[in-house]
Amino acid sequence: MKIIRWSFLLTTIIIIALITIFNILFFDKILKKAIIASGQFAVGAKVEIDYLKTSFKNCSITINGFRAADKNNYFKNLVDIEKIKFDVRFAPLLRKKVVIDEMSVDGLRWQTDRKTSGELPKKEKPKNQQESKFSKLFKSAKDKTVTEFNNLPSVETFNKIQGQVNNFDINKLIEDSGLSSIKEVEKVSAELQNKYKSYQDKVNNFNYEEKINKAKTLADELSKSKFGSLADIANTAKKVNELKTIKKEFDDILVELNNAKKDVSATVDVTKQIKNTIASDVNMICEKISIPTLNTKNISQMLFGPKWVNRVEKTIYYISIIKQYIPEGSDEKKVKEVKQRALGRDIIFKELLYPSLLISKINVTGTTAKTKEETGIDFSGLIKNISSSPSLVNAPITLELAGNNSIQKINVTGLFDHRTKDSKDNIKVEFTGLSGTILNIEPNDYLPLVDTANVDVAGTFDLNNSGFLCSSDIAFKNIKEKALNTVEGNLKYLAQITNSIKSFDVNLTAQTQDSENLDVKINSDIDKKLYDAISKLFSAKVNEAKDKIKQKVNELAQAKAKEIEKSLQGQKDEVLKQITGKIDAVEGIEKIITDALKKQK
Amino acid sequence: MFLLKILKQIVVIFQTDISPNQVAWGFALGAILGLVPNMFMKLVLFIIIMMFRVNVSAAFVAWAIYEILSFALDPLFDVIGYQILNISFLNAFYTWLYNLPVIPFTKFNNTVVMGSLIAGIILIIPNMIIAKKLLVYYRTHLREKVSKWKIVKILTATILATNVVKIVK
Repeated sequence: MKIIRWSFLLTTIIIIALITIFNILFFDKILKKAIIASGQFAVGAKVEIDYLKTSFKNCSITINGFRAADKNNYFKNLVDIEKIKFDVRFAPLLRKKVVIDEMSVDGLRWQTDRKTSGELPKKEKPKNQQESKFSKLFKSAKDKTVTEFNNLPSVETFNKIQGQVNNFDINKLIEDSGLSSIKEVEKVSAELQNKYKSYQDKVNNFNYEEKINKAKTLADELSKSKFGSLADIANTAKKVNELKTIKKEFDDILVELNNAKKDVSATVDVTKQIKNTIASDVNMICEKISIPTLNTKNISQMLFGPKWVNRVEKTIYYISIIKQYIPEGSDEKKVKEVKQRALGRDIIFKELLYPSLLISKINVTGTTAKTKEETGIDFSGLIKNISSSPSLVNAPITLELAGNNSIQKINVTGLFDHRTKDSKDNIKVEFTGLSGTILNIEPNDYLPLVDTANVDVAGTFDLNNSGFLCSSDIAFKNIKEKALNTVEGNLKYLAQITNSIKSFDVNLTAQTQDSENLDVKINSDIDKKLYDAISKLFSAKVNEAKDKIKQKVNELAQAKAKEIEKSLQGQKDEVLKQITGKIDAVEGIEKIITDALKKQK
Repeated sequence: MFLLKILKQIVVIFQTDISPNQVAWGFALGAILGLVPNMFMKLVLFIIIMMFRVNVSAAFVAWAIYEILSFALDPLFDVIGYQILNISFLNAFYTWLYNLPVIPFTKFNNTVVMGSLIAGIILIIPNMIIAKKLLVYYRTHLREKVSKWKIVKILTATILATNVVKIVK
């Protein structure tokens, strides 16, 4: 008797063969599409795979040319990997578990250029991609913090300095100041004019003629007088007394006229009179160009604050993505016991449990160079224990990458511990000997040429359930000087200031503890260095400017004084002439009176 | 329609000259198919039935009969299965099975599944003997009488007509 039903067996074999052929022909394409779709969902931008090959013999998958675009810059790749290769264990696959003992990732690079945009068509954009609580928190906190940075007093001060440097013009400064010395010259001039006029009026108003005639008459009568009788003697005596009285009056007038002459003939030295006013003018103008008081604590906050906040935001975003795909562990351990069911009971035996996804080890090699022509740091390292259920694997995800070339060194360590509900994520990054260009700090007149610096960076990013702490120490060394001949105008001052800074350190921290407030602290010795350099240069420049101001103010005031003196000279001469004439007349009559009185003796 | 099909299959088994051994094996394996509640195990048993030259109609008849019987027998299978699964020296074997790639899909660790499977295996020989003896006795003593029944004639005619249509197609 034929035991086997061959028709059924053949049919079954044919069906299995067809399924196998279908898989061989189309499985790679289907898997490629699935990886691209899930990758695009995760990163929110285009994911490309050049080549994907699976082998059923040892359940291996080889992926060549894996590129995921950066959703923040569609013309850059977030990651660019030359080759990924791994073997999947067959047995767990039947339980829908992906277990990879070892994976190799070769030629890992990031931020490489893309020829085409990595933006997803609108209909393919993931609609419900959830932002982590940190991302949400950070967005609001970032806006607040950046606004705070822009309102820092140092920003105002810097703007003030910039304005001062840009608009420094001695003539305009003096003109705008309204010199008191010029006003003083005008005031002195008016006073002198009044004085001359009052003397002129006084001299003109003296009533000499009558008295002179009277004195002449009396002197004449005395010279002709005869003493024939007592009455003649008494009459002569009376005239002598009268003449003496007149002489006394003339003496007083002469004193007055001499005083006036002395007063008027005194040198008109307006410059001398306004000397003190000129000094106060110079001080007043110099005060305007003195160095404003700088808060040395927050120059670096202004310069590095927004950059740091953006960098922290980016890091938190990517760690949040990682967090999103690593489920939190549970503190409750599964109790293995007999379960009561409606249909029988399940007896649970000791099970070799696998998470849905387990990659025990990934060997990573890559470079920091963005293109193949560029020289970067070749690095290699290990990522261990990636799993969808860290509590089951009972080991945290660890990351160790290290590399160096003759100049630069890179060391990255990471730990993502999601074994319990209190997850902890930590990444430590150390770069030494990097080019300043890697920090993408926009050129700034107030900063030295940071792009030319050798930069050492040590950063730590810690995340837990309640908040995060990010800190970074950046050392800028061997900063080259700006070429002064390429800088024009007042920016030369700034270039001189920044050229004096050859190195500086920056320490940045950003943390939240209560998931509400973002505390960003930035400290740097560039604050003091900039302040010292500004003070040094400005002191020299201010002193130079003060000398110029002094000279200029003096010139202006003296020119005005000379002009006034010249215009007053005519009036002065006229007054003097009049006074001298009067003096001569009075002296003449006094001589006549004196002679007449002598004869009577 | 389902009842009609069952009736037709019964008529085919009893009224034709199919080998009693094939019918007996089909009945015995079909009984296990009916007793075991797990779908994956049912699928495996069905493939076995289909692969071997046993009578599929007899298997379906046994499946239907024992599926109904199993509702009443589940508490008994639960007790049997629990005892078997708790045999201490077999624990290592069960653990090994439990961690094999495909075997856990059979839910062998369920008391009713294990109890019903063991019961089905134990019942293979009695089922075969009973089925074979009943068939032989029927064909010897009762087939002639039954073939004269109107219902049997109609069913036989329907079966013949169906076969002719199949051949013509």
